Amino acid sequence: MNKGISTNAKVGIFVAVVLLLLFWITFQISSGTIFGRLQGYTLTTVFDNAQGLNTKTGVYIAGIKIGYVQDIKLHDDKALVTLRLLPNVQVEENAKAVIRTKGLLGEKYIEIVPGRQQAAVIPHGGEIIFTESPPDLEELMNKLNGIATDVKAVTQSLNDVFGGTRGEKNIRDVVDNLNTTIKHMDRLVTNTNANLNRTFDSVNTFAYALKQQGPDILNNLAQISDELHSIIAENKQSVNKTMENISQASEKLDKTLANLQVITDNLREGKGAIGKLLTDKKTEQQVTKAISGLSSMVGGTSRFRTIISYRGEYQFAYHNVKSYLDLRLQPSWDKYYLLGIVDDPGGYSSTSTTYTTVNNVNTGTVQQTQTVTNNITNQLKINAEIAKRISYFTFRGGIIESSGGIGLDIDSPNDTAQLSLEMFNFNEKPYPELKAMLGISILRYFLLSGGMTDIANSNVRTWFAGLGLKFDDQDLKNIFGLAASTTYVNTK
Amino acid sequence: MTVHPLAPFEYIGRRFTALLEELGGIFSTFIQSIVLVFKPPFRVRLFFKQMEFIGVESSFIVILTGAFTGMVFALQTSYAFRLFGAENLIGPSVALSLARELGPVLTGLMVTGRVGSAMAAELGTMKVTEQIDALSTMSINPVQYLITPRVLSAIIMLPMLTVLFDFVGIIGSYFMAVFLLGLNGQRFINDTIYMVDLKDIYIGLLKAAVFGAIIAVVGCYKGYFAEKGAEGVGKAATQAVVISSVSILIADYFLTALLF
Repeated sequence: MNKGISTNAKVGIFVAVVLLLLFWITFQISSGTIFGRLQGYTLTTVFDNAQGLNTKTGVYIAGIKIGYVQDIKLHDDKALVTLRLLPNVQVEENAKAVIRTKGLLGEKYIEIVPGRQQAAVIPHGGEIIFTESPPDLEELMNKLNGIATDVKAVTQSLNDVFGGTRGEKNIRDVVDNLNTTIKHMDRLVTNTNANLNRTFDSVNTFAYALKQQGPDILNNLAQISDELHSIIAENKQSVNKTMENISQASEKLDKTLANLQVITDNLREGKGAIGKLLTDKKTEQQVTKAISGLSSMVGGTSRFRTIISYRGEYQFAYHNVKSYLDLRLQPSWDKYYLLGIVDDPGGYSSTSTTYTTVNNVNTGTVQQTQTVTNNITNQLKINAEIAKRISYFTFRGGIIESSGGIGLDIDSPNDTAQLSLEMFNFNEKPYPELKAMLGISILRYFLLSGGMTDIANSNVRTWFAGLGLKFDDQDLKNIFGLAASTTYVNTK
Repeated sequence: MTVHPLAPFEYIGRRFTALLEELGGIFSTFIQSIVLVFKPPFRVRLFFKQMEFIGVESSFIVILTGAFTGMVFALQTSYAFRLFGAENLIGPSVALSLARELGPVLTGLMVTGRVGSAMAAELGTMKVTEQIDALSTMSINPVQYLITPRVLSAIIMLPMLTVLFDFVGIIGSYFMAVFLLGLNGQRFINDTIYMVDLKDIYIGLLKAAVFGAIIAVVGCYKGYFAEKGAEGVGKAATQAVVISSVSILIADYFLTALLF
């Protein structure tokens, strides 16, 4: 006993240490269990193929381990797998259990792909309905084998085409064809070049001719001036006489003006009857009255507005511009006369047929082609219309584009926008030409327009957009500064 | 000297009878010792003395064996797992094999060498010096006085030594893997804990208890029935070790097949 530690104490220490170790190991290993009793809850799920799954295989959500496989059983030829999950993890009813492979050795694990958060949570003992088994390796191999076979077939046929002596010949043929084509192209370019050269030569010749004949032309001009000179010399006497007459006439005129001076002086001083008349107040009033009457009369005439407008319409289908130059004479606000000319690039059309014969050198055949050309030439047309306006509607009629026609314009309340409809050229088959246009005035002088011409004939109709200029007589006067006083009278 | 034609059969039969006799003797000793555990007088002092001898005094050799087993096992498996790049499996494989097989078996073999032989020699000496007869004369049941404490102590102490062996072995493999092979320590621990089941450890401990019973019963039986003086004692000690070791390995197979 006095030796120190007793037998009992030694055994006690030993047992205590060992039991502590055992508890520690047990606790470490069975984290998630309490003395071997499992914690958490179980869910079942059915896989078609549970190959590679074992009990203790991990169950993960988003790569985080949340449980393990507790049991695997065969059930109706499928694998019924029981999962034990941590109590604080919830799996929604629309979640999906997928068997996945981890690492190189093909270790399997179960991934639960979460469903929507709104879905109900599967309770203890419930089932995850949606599952996905890994593809069978053998099946995969078979598929790959099939693909490999296909690839082999493709490479085989490629080999057949390009490989061997036949393939070589084929490739050589292709190269030969290319060569021939390039030669043809070369020849073509050479020919074109010759044409160009010829053109340049012509120009050159012309310039040379001009140079040669230049002196002659100058000589001719000199001769003409000489002749003019001699004519003037011959008529020198009569010219002198004329100048004398003019001189005498101007003397007389001078005298006349002097007399007139005397008369006007007298008038100003109130001498004589007329002088009295002019200086009298009463006369002045009467004259003023007479002038205002005259003025109102002249005013009526002055409302005879003159409007000149130019409009160009770009036709999208033909890529050309149709131009209108109109003169509008407007005696009163509710009627006007319109005279105009129209420059129509598509005004006149004719059809010609060309036959071309091509001798193909390579194939040794003769080919004949027939080309039908539609020639469309420019034509000037005339507009002459009478228009009557009622409220916002203006009815027009007369000659539109050199043929009989009628039109209707609808104006916006402040006259800045106008919708026009025209119908003319009643001879056109199958329908007369119908034109609709929307025009908008901008900054008083400009006119934007757009619409469609020949609406009824679908083969020739086209959209267009136009820009125009518009001046009335007033604008012209303002612009050119003419008859400023008249303008004053007219406008008031 | 002519040999009787049936002599070989007679020999085989005699050996077989002897084997059966010995098996029956060992088993009956085991039953007796267990039954006598529950009969007074309870020899608590003797029991503790045996626990000290079997358990406490064997702990050093078990720790030594366990540490080096774990280390060498980690080293060996690392060569194989390196080929697959699966070094994270070193920890689990070492821990699993220690808990399931190596822990109980190696502990059993070490204890057999150290304790089984000692038991056979001690009881054999007591037998040939007629000390056991003296005990009987003093109306002390020699089985209860000598064998029961040893068997009980071995049954209790072997699993404890196995726990020690497992723990030290895993620590050894951890040091090997982390400090020599450069693996991630936390990963090693996590994988080990993940792969090893409580069942692995408990079955290992159950095995160890069975091995403890084998060691003690065989050792005691061999000593208890030793004959022919000092020579018989030596023979008893040798046989005890051999029979115990072989029995442990054979029993290990059947237990493994039965329990896992």
